[in-house]
Amino acid sequence: MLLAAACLLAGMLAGAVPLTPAALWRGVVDPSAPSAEIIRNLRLPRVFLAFLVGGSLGVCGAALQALVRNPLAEPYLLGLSGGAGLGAVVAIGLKMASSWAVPIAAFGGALAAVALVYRLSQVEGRRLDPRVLLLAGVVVGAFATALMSAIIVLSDAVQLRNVFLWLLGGLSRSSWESLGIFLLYSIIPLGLLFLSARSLDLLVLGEETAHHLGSNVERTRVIIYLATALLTAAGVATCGIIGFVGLVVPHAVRRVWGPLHRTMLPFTFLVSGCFLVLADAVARTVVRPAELPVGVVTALIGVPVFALLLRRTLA
Amino acid sequence: MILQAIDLRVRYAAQGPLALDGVSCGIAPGELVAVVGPNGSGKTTLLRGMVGLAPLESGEVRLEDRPLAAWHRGDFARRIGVVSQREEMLYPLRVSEAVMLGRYASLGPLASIGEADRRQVESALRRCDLWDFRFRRVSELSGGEWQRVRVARALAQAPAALLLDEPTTALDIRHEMEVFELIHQLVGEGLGAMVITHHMNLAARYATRMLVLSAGKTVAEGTPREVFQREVMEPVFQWPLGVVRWLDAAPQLIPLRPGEEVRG
Amino acid sequence: MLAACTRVGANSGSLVVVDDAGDTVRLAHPAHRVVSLIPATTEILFAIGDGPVVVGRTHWCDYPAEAAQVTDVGDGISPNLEAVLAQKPDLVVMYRSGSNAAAAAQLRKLGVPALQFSVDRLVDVPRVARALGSVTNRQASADSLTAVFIRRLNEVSVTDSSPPRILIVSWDQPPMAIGAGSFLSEMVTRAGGSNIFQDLKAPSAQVSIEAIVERNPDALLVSSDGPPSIASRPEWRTVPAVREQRFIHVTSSAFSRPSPRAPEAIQELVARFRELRP
Repeated sequence: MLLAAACLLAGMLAGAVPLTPAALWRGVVDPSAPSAEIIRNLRLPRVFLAFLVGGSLGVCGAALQALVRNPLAEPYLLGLSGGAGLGAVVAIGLKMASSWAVPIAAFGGALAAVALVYRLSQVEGRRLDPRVLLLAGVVVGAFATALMSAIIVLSDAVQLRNVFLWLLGGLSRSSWESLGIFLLYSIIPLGLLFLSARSLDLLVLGEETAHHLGSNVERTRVIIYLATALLTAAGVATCGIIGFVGLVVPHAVRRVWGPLHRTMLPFTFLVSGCFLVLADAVARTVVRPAELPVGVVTALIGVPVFALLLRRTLA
Repeated sequence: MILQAIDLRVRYAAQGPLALDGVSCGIAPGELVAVVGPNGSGKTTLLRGMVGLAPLESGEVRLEDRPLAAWHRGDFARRIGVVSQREEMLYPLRVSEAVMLGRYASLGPLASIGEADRRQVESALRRCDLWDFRFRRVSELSGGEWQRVRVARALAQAPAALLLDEPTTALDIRHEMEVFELIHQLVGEGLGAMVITHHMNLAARYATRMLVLSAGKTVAEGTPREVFQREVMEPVFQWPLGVVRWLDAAPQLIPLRPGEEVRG
Repeated sequence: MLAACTRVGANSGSLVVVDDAGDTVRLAHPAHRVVSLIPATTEILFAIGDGPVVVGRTHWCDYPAEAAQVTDVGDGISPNLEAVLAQKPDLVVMYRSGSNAAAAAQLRKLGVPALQFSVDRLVDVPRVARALGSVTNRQASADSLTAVFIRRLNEVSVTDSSPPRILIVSWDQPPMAIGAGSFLSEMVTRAGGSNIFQDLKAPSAQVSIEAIVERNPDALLVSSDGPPSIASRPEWRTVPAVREQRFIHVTSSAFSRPSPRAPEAIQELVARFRELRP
C-alpha cells in the first residue's frame, strides 16, 4: 500500500512540467499558485486514472488467465482491441463532431467484438468453452483489425492515420470527467471480479474439477467474461490500448504472493496500477516536451520482465 | 440411500450408441460399492451421470431422495465428494492450500477461512498421510502423492459419500492399500463410497457390493461372492478365469493361462 | 540534397537528373507526359505552365481548379502503378519515402523515369520548381516563378518585437503539435509569429498537454487537415487560449503543403495575427 502511495506521488511529480513536492502541495491547495492549473486539472486526474485503469487491466488479465486456463491470456484477448479500433475508425471516418464520439464508438465496437466471440464460443450448447474462446477471440480481433485497415486504406481522410495514434493514445486524454466516468463505471465489474476470487481458484482447476468442488461453472464463466469485457472495453475507450499490463503483472504477482486469487487479485490491482502510473510518468518525461505513447513504454518494460519471468519459471 | 441412479441412459453423440443403457446404482451409508468392467463399459459415464456432468437421455438421479435438478451446485458439493481420474494443476499450490479448496463449497464469496475449515483440512491431511507434506508444492509430489492430495481434498468437503474414479492408478502397493484401507475405514464410520477400479480382486476384498458393467449395461450386481462367477465374468472379460478364495474368504479372479485349470 | 540537372553533350535532347533520393535518372527528351504524385508538384507544374503535360495526379491534388480535369490515379504514397502506367507517362514524380523508393525502382525498370522529391519546407518550392522546369523544358518559366516566389516571400515576411505565441495544432487526441521541421512552422515565423514548439525538430510530434498549458500560446492555428473540434475536450480546456476560443482556422490548401501560394498564405496569417492584438 505504501508502495502504491509512493508511485502515485512519483507520478504526480514527474511530467512535462517538473514539480517539487512543495510546489505540488501548493498547487493542490492554492488555486492561484503557478502550475496549479496543470496540477489540479491535468496531472492529478491523469495519475489517478492511470492507477485505476492499470489496476483494472491487471485484474482483468488475471481473471481471463483463469477463465481460459492459459497464462498467456491478456485483456484484449477477446477481440477487444480489433473491435475498438474498428469503432474508432468508423467514428473518425464519419467525422463525428462530438469529442465523446470516438470513445463511445470504440466502446461499442469493443462490445460488439465481445458479443461475437461469445456467440462463436458456444459449443454443443455449452457457452464459453475455453478452448474455443481463445481461438474465437484471436479470430474476431484479427477480422476487425483487417476491416479497420481496409477502411483506413480505402478512405481519404487524413485523420484516419491518427486512429492508430488514438488507439495507442494513452492517458493524454485524462480529465476529471473521464476519471469520474470510468470510476463510476468500473465499480460493479471490479466488485464482481473481486468477489469471484474463490470461483477463479476453482475455475483454474478445470471445468470438471471445479464442478466437483461445487462451482457453477457456466454461471461463473459468464460473469467473469462479462465483467472483464465491460471493464476492458471501458479502458480502451478511455485510454486506448495499453498492452502488457494485464499480461505480465499477474504473473509477477503470482510468483510473489501465490496463485490464490483472494490475495492475488488485490495485489494485482495495486501493482498494475503502480506500473501504469510509472510507465506513464516515463512516457511523459523521457522525450519532454513530446510524449511517447504509453503502450510503447509498457511494452518496452513488459517484454524483458516477461522474458525474465519465463526463464525463472522454466528453470 | 445417499445418492441413487435409476435406470440411466446416456448417449453422447446424437446418432451414436448408448454409452450407458439402463444402469442403476445406489450408494448407501456404510457401503462400499465397487464398479468394475472392461474399458469403455461405461463406468466413468455412470459416475458423470450421477453428478450431473453427463446428459441423461432417460433415467433419474436422486440425492437424499430429491431429484438432482432440485440441488444447488454448492449444496451438492457439500454432500458428495468426487475424485476424478486425471487432473493437472496449472499453478502449483501448496498441499494444504490444495486441500483447502475442498472447503470452498462451504464458503460464501465474502466469508473467510475459519477454524472449523482448518480443522477439517487438518483431519483430511492426517487421514491421507499427508500432514508432513502440507507445505510442499503440489508440483514436487509423485503421482501417488498427488492422488492422495485429491482424495484429501474430497474428504475436506466433509461429504456424506465419496465417488472415486480409478483412485489407485499410479500408486504403489503400500499407498494403494492405504487408500483402500482409508476408504474402508471411512465407510465404517458411516460414509458411503463408490469406487470405480480396474483392480477387481482388491475391490472384491473391500466392497460391500459390486456392479459389473459391460458395453453400457449391467451384467451383474451383488456381493463379491455373488458376482465373481466364471459364467458371469468370462464373457465380460473374454478370457478364461479361475475363481479362488483368499484368506478373508473374498473371491479372487485369476486369469488362466492356456492349459491351466482350477478346482474348488 | 539538391536536384541537379545537366544537359549532356552533343545529344542536346537528353537530360540527367539526380533526385532527392540520390538516384541518377536519365531522360531521353524533355518530359511531356508527367504523372505528378505530390500535390505540391502538381501545383508547381501548373504554375510554370506545364498544365497540359500533366496526365495524372493524386486524389489530393486539388489546386489549381484545372487539375480536376486530370486523371486521378489514386494515392500518392505507395502508388497504384497500374493506374500510373495506364497514363503512359514519360516521367513520374513522387514524394520521397521508403515505400516510394521501391515504386520508383520498379518504374525505372519498366523504362519510365521516376523522380523522388522531398517537399517539406518552403525552400523546396523554388528548388523543385527549377528541377521540374528543366525536365519539361520550361526553365525560363521556372526561373521566373522562383524569382517571384523568393521576392514575394521576402515582401510578406514581417518581424515583430513581441511575436504572438502560436500553437500549430496537428491533432487533438492525442495532442500533436507541428514542430520546427515543418513548412507551417516557417510560415508562422515569417508572418511574425512564434511557434511555441520551435524546439521540436520534427515536423510533428505528440506533445504533453501540460507542456501546452505551460507554454501558454496566445492562439491555436488549425488547418483544414486538423481536428474538427478541440474546444469540447475537457483536458484541452485547461489551455487558456482554448477556453477563450482564440482559434485561427485556415481553410486554404496552401496551408496543407509548401506551394507557390505560400506568400499569400503568409499574408493571411499576418492579417489574422494582427487581429489577435488588443
